[in-house]
Amino acid sequence: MANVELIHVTKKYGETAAVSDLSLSIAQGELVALLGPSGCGKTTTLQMLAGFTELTSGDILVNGKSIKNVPPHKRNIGVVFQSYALFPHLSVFDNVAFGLRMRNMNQVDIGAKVKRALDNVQLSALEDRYPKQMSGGQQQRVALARALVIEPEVLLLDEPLSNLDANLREQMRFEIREIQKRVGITTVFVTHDQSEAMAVADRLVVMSNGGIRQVGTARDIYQSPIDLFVTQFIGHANILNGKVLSSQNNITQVQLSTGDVVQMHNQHGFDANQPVVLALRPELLTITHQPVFGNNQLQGEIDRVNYLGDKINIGLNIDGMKLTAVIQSNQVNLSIGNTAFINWPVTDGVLFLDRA
Amino acid sequence: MITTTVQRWLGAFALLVCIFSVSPVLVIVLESFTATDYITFPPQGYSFKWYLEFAKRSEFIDSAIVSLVVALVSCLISTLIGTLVAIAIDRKTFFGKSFIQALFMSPLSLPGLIFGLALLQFLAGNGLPRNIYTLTIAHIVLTTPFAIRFISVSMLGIDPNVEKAAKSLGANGLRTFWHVTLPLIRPGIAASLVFIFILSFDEVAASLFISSPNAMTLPVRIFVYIDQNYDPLVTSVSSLLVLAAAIALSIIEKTVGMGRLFGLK
Repeated sequence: MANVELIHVTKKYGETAAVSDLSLSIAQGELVALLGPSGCGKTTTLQMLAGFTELTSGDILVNGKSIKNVPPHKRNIGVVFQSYALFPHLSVFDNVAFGLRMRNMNQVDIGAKVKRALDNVQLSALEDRYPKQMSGGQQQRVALARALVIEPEVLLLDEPLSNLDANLREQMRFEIREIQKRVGITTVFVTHDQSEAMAVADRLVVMSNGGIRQVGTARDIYQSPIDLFVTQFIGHANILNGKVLSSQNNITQVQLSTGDVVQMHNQHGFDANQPVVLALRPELLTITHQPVFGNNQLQGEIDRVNYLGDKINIGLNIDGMKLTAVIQSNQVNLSIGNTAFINWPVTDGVLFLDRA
Repeated sequence: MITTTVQRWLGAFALLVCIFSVSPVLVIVLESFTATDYITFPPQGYSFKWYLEFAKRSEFIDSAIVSLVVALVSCLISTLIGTLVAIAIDRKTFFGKSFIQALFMSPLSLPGLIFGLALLQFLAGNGLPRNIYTLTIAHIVLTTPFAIRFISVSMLGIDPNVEKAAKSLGANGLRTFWHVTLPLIRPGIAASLVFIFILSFDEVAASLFISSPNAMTLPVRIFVYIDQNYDPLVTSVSSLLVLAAAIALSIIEKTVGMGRLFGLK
């Protein structure tokens, strides 16, 4: 088990930087998800951790020791690939035993360790199978067992779930999380799927353009995104354009593009006349037929109602501005064409400067 | 969906192709049993005299040995070079890579006769002998492009992450190659060995120029012989070659299986 430290890590291909000046520390036993759209540098970062890609500058420490110049086969880092990358010519047993054989372990110990590793992923009955005789989920577990059996200091997971179908993906999320906790191994999980990252990770690292945008727990990032990019990447948000009317004593008045004026508390660093965007999560909105005192509210017309079982997803039109609200099914009786009030507390929502 | 009628027509067509390719061979084999002193079809009278004649002609046996040795050595060395070049081209990036690639493929672009003539000029101009060594080198140069192609195709079928996985599990470059890459390109290596052996054994055009009385391949010997004689000796030699090929193929089929050898199963 180990803690990992990335220090000003930079990777350049010619003039373009795939990763620039990335610093991050990962605690022992922690599961960190590197999250971002494709091309954000998350995979390059993982490749550098594994040793498949050299750093242009910066350093990577594992337990305080630099591994920058250690070749991949001496790093003792387990990797699970998106394609699983099982050895097609070897049986499940031999796939899992591979790393132990490379360590010149004796046959008896190898047998025992492979058994335990396969038990760990509930595949001990299939040790004689070949990879192509197995389903995607099973191959995924073999890949996990193969990476864990060498008792690596760090585990790297590169989009491990994206080749699985939706149901299995959800199940494997929790399975991976459970195994990771049981083994207690420091893990870096690369994904472009925010719900996957939120479900699995202790901390999320949101990346874009080769750098870190925000680091925090799923709750931190969802509730207090640092900028518009993070807001829109993690979950859904209604984005309302407007400008600041006044900002003092912890209260900011914003005039929306529709002309409505709303109030926001605890938003700092804004001055009058600045163009801003207001981000509102759909589930923060409530819908009523009558105005509610003390809340922000906008009057509009319901133009879409999608029943989703546990929730209802509602589309609203406020003088041409479209909003989405997600409400509990039992709240109010609403139908298309109704006029309604959209309410949210003045403490909810996040305000950003509009740089566009 | 392929209907039964279409299937039948396809079957008939396949049969026709088989007959078309096998019948000339069959004609040669039948002719070799003729009792006449000239080649004729259908053969007249039956005898083994042209096989006995072959046993007496040591130059044909010598040539068969030359051909075997040249084919064996060149299929081994070409496949070795081909494997190394294919790995370098597919897995590494280095300065002048496309130039190297083009260089290794260039023998394919020359007709065999031109290549043979050029080689003859080169050997004569530099006072080098025409013997079994230079003959073998010529065959290696001619067949290496095919080896590179065969191995490259198998390399393309390997997920590069498989090699990375091996490294992350503690295998250095050599052990990764030995335990992962090599087993996965084995079908390509087998195909390369078999195909290049046949290619080298059959080669006439270039060998014609660089064969010499002390090192002449069997196809060249047959070619030179029928240029001057028209007796059925060449048919008995050819029939023995067909027999040898049939035996070799059936041994491969029985032991390894053709499908497995070429990675089809």
